[in-house]
Amino acid sequence: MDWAEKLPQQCPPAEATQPNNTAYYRYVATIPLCEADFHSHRKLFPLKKFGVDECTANSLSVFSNPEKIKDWSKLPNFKGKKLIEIVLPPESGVVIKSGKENHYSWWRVKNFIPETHKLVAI
Amino acid sequence: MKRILIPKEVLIYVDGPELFVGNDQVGAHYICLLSETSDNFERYLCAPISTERLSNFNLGQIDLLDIITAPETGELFTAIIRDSEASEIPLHLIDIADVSSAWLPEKGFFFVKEDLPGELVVQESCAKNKGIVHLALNPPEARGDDTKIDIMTLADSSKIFQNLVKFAYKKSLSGLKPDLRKKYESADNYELEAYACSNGSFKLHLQSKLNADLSGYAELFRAMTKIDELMQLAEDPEKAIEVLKLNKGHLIGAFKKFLALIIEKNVPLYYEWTTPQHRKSFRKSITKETAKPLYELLLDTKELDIEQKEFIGEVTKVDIEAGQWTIINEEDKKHYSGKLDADSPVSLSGITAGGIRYKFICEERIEEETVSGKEKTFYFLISHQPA
Repeated sequence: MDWAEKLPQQCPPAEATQPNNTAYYRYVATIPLCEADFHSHRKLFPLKKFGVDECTANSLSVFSNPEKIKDWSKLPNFKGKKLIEIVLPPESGVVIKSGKENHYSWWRVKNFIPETHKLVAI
Repeated sequence: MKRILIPKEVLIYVDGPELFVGNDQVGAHYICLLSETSDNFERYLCAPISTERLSNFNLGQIDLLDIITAPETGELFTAIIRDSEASEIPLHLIDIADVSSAWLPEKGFFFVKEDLPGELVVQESCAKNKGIVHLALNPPEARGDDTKIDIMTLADSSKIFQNLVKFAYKKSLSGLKPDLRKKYESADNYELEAYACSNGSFKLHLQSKLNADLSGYAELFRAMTKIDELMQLAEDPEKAIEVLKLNKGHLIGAFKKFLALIIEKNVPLYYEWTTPQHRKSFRKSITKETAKPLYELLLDTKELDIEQKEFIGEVTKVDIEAGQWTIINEEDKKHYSGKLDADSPVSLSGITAGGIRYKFICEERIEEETVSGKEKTFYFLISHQPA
C-alpha cells in the first residue's frame, strides 16, 4: 500500500488489518473534510518525541463508540471541532485496536479522504 | 524546587496524549491536560493531585475543571513540549488567575477510567505499565497438592526462557536498518524480572525491565510475537521448515534448548503474555508430546543453528599461521576479531592487511564461561572475498 505518510520500518504492524466498511469516529476541525484533518501527530510535530513509539505516532486515532467520546468536546483541544462518523473501506489503509477499549490506530493510504461522513450530535 | 514531570500513564489519547498522569522527581502526582497547540509546541496545564483525589477523578466523581482551577496545593503548572525528547519535562508555576479560559475544559467533564478485562495478566500489565508474561511450568513435582519445583529445573527453565526471549528480540530487529537497530539493541529491551509466583502448576510472573511507553507499547511485544510464531510450528511441524529457515541462527539454537527442556525434564509449559497496549492475553502451551516432532526436525537440520554474520571492510591484522584475523566492519565501524575453525578448509593466505576491502562471512558462536557465567562471542571465518 502507498501510505499517506512516510512510515518507520516494520510499520504498520503485521497484525493490523484492512477495515471492512466499518464505522469509526473522529474529531475534525473542518467540514468539508480536508487532508489536514487526517495528519498524524508525527506529521504535525516531526521532531517531537513524547514517550510514544514511532509507529503509533505515525497513526491516526479513530474510535468505535461515539458515546464514549462525545464528552471530549468539552476539552480545550476539541473545542470547536466536530465529531463525525466515517466508514473506512478496505482500500483506506489498515487499523488495529490499541490502548484503551474504544481506540483504534489507523494508518491511512495516500490521498484517501473519506468521501462521505455523518455528523454526530453531541 | 525545580520540578520535573515524568509522564506515567495516559488517560485520554487522541493522536497523542490529551490527558495524562505524571510524577515529579519526588513522586508527587500531577494530572496534565493538553490546553494549547501551535506549530512549535504543545502546552499542558498540570495540577498536583493526591492519590485519593486522582482515584475519585478516575471514578467519575470530580469535575476536571475543579481539578485544574482548584488544585489541593493551590498551585498550578504549565508544561511546554517543543520539538525534543519529552521524557522529563520542566514544570513552570502559573498563577491560576493568568490562565486563559481557552486553556480550560468546560464545566461538567467527568472521566471514568475503564474497567480492565478480568484476566490477571492484563490487570497486572496495565497496573505496572509493563509487558507481562505468566510462565507456568508443570514438572512432575509440581503436580501434587504441594506447589513446588526442583530448584535446578526452575533455574534452567528461567535461564532458557530468558535466552529465548533475548534471541527472539534480536531476530525481530534483523530487518531494521543499522541505525534503527542500534537504537533498540539495549539488553533492557528484552530482559525480564520475576516479581511473583502463583499456584496453578508453578507459575512465574515475569515483567519487562522497562516500562511501556505512553501508548502502552512495550518492546517485549517484538520478542513474544516471534516466540509465538515458533510455538505455532509445534501444531504443524510439516510446514515448519520454511519458518525455521527464516529464523536461523541463535534463535533456533535457543528454541531447540527450550524444546529439549520440555522433553528431557518432562516440563509441560504454558505461557500467557500481554502489554498495556494490547489489553488481552496471548496464550501458547506445549507438552513433551507436541514438542517432540519439532525437536526431531531441528536435530535433523543442524545448519539452522548457525548464526552467520557478514563483515565488510579492511583487514587490520592477519596471522596465517595462527589462523587469526581482525577486520573493521564499515557498517558499525567496530573491530571484529576471529579465527579459523580447527578443521576449516578456508585459508587466510592471500588476505592483505590494509588497503583492500573484504567481505567476510563468519559463524558467530556464543560461549558461556564456566565459572563466571559471562558470555563471550567468537567469530569463525566461513568464507572471504574482495568486496
